Amino acid sequence: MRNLLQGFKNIIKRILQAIKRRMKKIGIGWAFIIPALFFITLFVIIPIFYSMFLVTQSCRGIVCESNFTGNIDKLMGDVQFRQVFKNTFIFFIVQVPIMLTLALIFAVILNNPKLRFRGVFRTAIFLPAVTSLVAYSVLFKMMLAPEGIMNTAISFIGISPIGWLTDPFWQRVTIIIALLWRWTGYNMIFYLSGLQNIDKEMFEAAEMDGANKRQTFFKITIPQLKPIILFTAVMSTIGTLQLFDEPFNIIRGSGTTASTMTLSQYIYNLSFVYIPNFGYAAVISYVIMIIAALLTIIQFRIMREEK
Amino acid sequence: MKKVITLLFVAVLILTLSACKGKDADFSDGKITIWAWDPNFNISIMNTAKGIYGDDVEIIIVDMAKGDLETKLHASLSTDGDLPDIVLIEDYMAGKYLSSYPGKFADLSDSIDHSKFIPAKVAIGTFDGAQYSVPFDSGVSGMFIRNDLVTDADVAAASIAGVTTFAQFVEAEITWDEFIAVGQAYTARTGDAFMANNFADGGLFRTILNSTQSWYTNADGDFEFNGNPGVEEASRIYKEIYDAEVMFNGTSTEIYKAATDWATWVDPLGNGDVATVTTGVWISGTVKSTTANSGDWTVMKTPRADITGAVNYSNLGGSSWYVLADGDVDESVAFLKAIYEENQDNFYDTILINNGAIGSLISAASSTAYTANDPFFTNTAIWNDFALWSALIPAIDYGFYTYEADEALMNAMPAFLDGTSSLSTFLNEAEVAAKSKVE
Repeated sequence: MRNLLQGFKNIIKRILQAIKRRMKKIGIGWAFIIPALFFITLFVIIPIFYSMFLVTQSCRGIVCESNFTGNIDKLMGDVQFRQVFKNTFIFFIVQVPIMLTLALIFAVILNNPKLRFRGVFRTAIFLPAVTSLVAYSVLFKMMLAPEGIMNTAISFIGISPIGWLTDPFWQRVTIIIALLWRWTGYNMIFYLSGLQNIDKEMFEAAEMDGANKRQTFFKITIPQLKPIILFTAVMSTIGTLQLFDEPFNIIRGSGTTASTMTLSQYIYNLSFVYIPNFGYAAVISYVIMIIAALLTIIQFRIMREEK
Repeated sequence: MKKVITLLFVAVLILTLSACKGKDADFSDGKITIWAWDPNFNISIMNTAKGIYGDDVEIIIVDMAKGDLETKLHASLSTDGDLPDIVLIEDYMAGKYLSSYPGKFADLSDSIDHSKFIPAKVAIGTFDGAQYSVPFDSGVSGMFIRNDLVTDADVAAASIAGVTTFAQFVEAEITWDEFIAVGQAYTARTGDAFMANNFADGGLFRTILNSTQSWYTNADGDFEFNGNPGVEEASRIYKEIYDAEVMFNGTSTEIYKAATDWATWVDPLGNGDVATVTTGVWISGTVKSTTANSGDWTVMKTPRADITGAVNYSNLGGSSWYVLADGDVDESVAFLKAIYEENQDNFYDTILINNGAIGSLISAASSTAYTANDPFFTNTAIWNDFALWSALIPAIDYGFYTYEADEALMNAMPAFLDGTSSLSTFLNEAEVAAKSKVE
């Protein structure tokens, strides 16, 4: 009986010790993540909940009133919102496919081991991605000014000066060129690393079977790169929806902003340029979030079906 | 180990909490921070004020681009962020800030004697019956013209009644159409632009509009573009200027130089690329900054819109000083009162001569500096002219939304300028866009 009791005690003791050890481990774990958790709560989680509250507010500076339906009504009748939505989509639809195609072509060319000075080309094409957004925007603005280097250059071949920064159509072209210059190399790097992960034996086998370059590209390279293409497509989609720096730095102050103002720039204007209305700006932010989620789901679906 | 982690954790917490610590309510640190824009004008003037006031208080003047200042001010006011003690606010924006941030600006009704300032200017800084501003500069407009570049023949070609010589021209009260006619003659002869304009900027538009005694809004304060004679006329003039092409050396040449920002608008004033600039008196500091041009510039009255009620006097810009309620109010007010209300050491004469600033203190306009001739402007008393003209500017209630209207109009304008939309389509479109911004 005593032995039994002693045994029981021992078991309890062991269990307690195990719990204690376990708690110690957990405690250390928590100690590690609590600082991060604290900051995430402060700067991410609380703002997210606060933005949910803001959606129900209609503000004028620091004077706010509860008006959720008013915000939705305003969104429905907001002609400027429609315009910036259209602008953002024009950038998205025109720029993303051109950029990803170019990036893929560059990657395939630069992946060829027979090509000389590969390192130089790779660096040159990737370099724009590490320049400061503001610095390159200012340079583009200078080059594309009415009497800038670009218009001077085209005047030599007999083309009359183009209103790169002032004409509503050419403003969009300017932004798309700037985006292509800045981001093509960035996406190319993903494709390059993807290409290097494709088993060389596959290409050799294809060659043995008499497949030509084109067939190899479409039947081997592209299918193998699919996950990376999906990744770059999703990242570029979200990136375009958040587009802000280029229209803000290149166009603003030079020409009218109607044809290049993006959703993000509209949020900025609603918050800091017009009479600040954080409530309505939060509504537009949620619209962007929903669009980004929908587009990403669509892209995942397309990729899965093709599998 | 555990102790180290706990210590680290506590350290991080303390750091964060101290970073989150709110601003001290009592902010009397013997320093006055001032935010303003334009180093040739407002900043330079505040430096003059600082020099006069002496070293009792440390005055820190922060120079920012105007747009950046406005954005930063909005952001700081709505989030309790970093704010100065004194800030410069443009007259068009005053109503917007005062109505959007109640309690954030110090009520100066009792500390500044507003009866000493021009009433129209005081009215701009008045909200809900309280006066918040220390009125500063007038934006009275004029047309600056190069007497060494524009000739009698250019003037004669415009066939203005009773005006055949340049000397008669600068004394005349002309219309914008006559201005364009002279410009065409000038450009056809020289190939150079007569003026510079940024068609995305509403500055010239507002100058024209103000002179027609109307504004973007109707009597109820709502936007009204279509059917608003002033807005229609200003749009017509913009298009006339845009379309006024002449032949020079066989190629069709515009009478304007397209500016894309402040620098490309201002630079031609120094290097002779343009022969005129029609804008607020505050540009005179910039005009005078190219000393080589001394004696080449003359100032005449602003051209007039061609509708009833329009006058040859207008206004563009102009701003006032505001004191932030959370800052060091007493010291800031004492400083502004000594300089701007009591005109210590003839402050207004100094800034008139150095910066071409026409102040809003009524008594300052009777000083001798105003009647003196300026050698830069062919030894004429241009400051006296500006002071006289400033009293004749049509008084306008700018309301809250000048820049919202401006942006909507300028965004819709390219289609009107290149002829793809009619005047009424353009104005309707802009009106809808403007209204959707403020609803």
